[in-house]
Order: sequence, then C-alpha cells, then structure tokens
Amino acid sequence: MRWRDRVTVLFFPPGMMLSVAALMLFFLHMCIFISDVYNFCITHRYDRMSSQYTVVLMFSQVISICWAAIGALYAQMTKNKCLHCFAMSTLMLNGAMFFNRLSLDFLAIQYREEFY
Amino acid sequence: MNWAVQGFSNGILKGQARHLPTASGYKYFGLWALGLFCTERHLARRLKNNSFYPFTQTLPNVFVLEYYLDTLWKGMLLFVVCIVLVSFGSLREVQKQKTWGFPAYGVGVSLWLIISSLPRRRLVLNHISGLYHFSIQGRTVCQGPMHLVYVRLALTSDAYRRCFFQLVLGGYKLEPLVLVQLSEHYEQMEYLGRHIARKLNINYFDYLTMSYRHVVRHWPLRTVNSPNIVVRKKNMYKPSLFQSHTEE
Repeated sequence: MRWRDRVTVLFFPPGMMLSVAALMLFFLHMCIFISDVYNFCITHRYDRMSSQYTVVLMFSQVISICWAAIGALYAQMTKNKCLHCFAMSTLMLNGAMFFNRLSLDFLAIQYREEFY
Repeated sequence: MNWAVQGFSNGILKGQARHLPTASGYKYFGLWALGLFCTERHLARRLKNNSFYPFTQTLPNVFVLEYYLDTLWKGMLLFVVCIVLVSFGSLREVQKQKTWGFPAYGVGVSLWLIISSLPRRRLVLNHISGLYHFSIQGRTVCQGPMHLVYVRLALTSDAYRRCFFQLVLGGYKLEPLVLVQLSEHYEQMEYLGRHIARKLNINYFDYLTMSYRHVVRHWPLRTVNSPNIVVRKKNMYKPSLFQSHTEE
C-alpha cells in the first residue's frame, strides 16, 4: 500500500521518473539491437532487420539519452548515493547503446554498398 | 508553469464551489492568455476580485489553494493531436521509413502528462499553527514551518540583455507556481509580489541574492537570535540604496 501511495502521489524523488523511463527505453532498444545483430550475423535474413525504422530508432535513442541526462542532473542535486549511481548508469547505458547502434548501422551500410 | 486553477474543480467539486474565488467563468480561458498579454494587469484584476489570490480564505489566517497542473491541458492537446494523426494515418510511412513511432511516442508521453497532473493539488497555509501543508489527492507530500514558503521574483535575460521578471510562488517540496510570466516592469511586479506576500503573510524575496528588498516575515527558529545576520547586514549597509526603498 505504501508503494502504491507513492505511485499515485508521484512521490518518487524528482527526476527519478525520467531515469526510469530512459531505462525502459534502453531495454527496448537493447531488444531491437539484439534481434538486429542476430539477423545480421547469424541468420543472414537482412530483410528482417529494423532498417525501416532507422529514423524512429535514432529519434527515440536521442530522446532517451536526453531523459537520462535530465534525470542525472536531478539526481546530482540530491545527496543520495544510490540515486546518483542509478541515474549515471542509466545515462551511460543509453550512451553505449547509441554507439552500438551507430556501429551496427555503419556495418550494414558497408555491407549494402554497391560497387560497379 | 501556469496552472489551471479551479476551472476544472468547478465542474468536479460542486460542493466546494463557494470556497472558490469569484468570476471563475472566464478563468477557464484565462489560462490560455496568461503567457501572452500584459499579465501583471491580469493579476492585479484578479487581486481586486479576491485579495488573497491565488489562495482563498476559509478561516481567518487559513488560506487554501486547490489547483491542477497546466500540463493537464497540454497533455490532452498532445493526446488529441496524436490520436488524430494515428487515425488518419498521415504519418505512417515517409519515404519507405516507417514513422508511426512518432505519434506512438506522443500518445505515451501525453498519457503520462495527463495521469501525473490529474490528481488535485492542495496547498494550505495555516497561520494559526504556523505550518503549511501540501497534499496531492488527499495524500500528504510535505508539511513544514511557514518560512519555507515564499513569493519571489525570478530573473531571466535574453540575448539583448533585456531583463524579464517572473513572479513565482514556491517553497520546499512545492511545485513552483508562476503568478506572472515574463514581464519587463520591475516596479509593478515587485509591488504585486510584496502585496501578495503581505496579504498571505509569507516571505518575499527579490531576484538578487543579497538585497534590501527582501521582506522576511518568518525566520527559521534558531536564526532569530543568531548574530551573523545582523553583522552581515551591517557590512552591507549602503545608505543611498536603503533610503530609496523603505517601504515596509
């Protein structure tokens, strides 16, 4: 009941919700990334990759990095070590996921390049 | 952040309608105009109607403010726009890129905005017990001594170094409530801020950290007898500054 109270009042420490949302988005991006890598390296079914969603994916990764950064800023304002750790690790995970996605996209572009 | 005072609560809480300020009919639309026009005049007009604006006096020395966050209508607007986009299918595919993710994001964010601003906030300044009490949907968020609630001027400047002032009602663990958005008229804003603070009997702070225009009515308990404050003020003393603003 106490936990539900907190949720209804939105009494998470300020900015915590942004970090949580960024973490959710990170998990979503990780699932998509794993399935892409699987299709790219193992099954070689390139049509199943998420290349049709590149724009939306890039947008949502940037958004999640922004949210994680704002959450980290808010966490820096509190004195709680756990919050610091959580927010910063969310931010770093999101950044790392962005660069992973970027390198995978470059690999895919290199593969699809046509030589005449 | 503006806030949709009492416009929604009029519909929901008919029992408490008499506690709400008068002329609530146009207040519903007043929200939209707030950031655009000469808003200190707007605030002054409201203060004329209800001298304890934005609060209402329930008992002598007890002030109550009930409000909804303005992200409520913003979230609703975003939600409607996204639903329209989805239903007409206009943003589904652009140049072989599937872009239905954008409206989906919009729906998610707007739902979050609506849900988080749907509970009614209630702020009570109780001068009888000397405490303020902030609750969301009947659940207490924080309760504390009166010196933690204040009206203050906030300064923002643009690229041409023009100064704009905001009048903000804030406090410890409160959501800052903007009474007047960005205005250039310092004197009027200061007058309004001091007036509101005097009526509500709370602290008023200028936009500078060190200023003779602060009006501090409530001190934290231990600092009243502390010699530090007096010493610092003596060091700061500048007669010309002080004489021009001996209002209260």
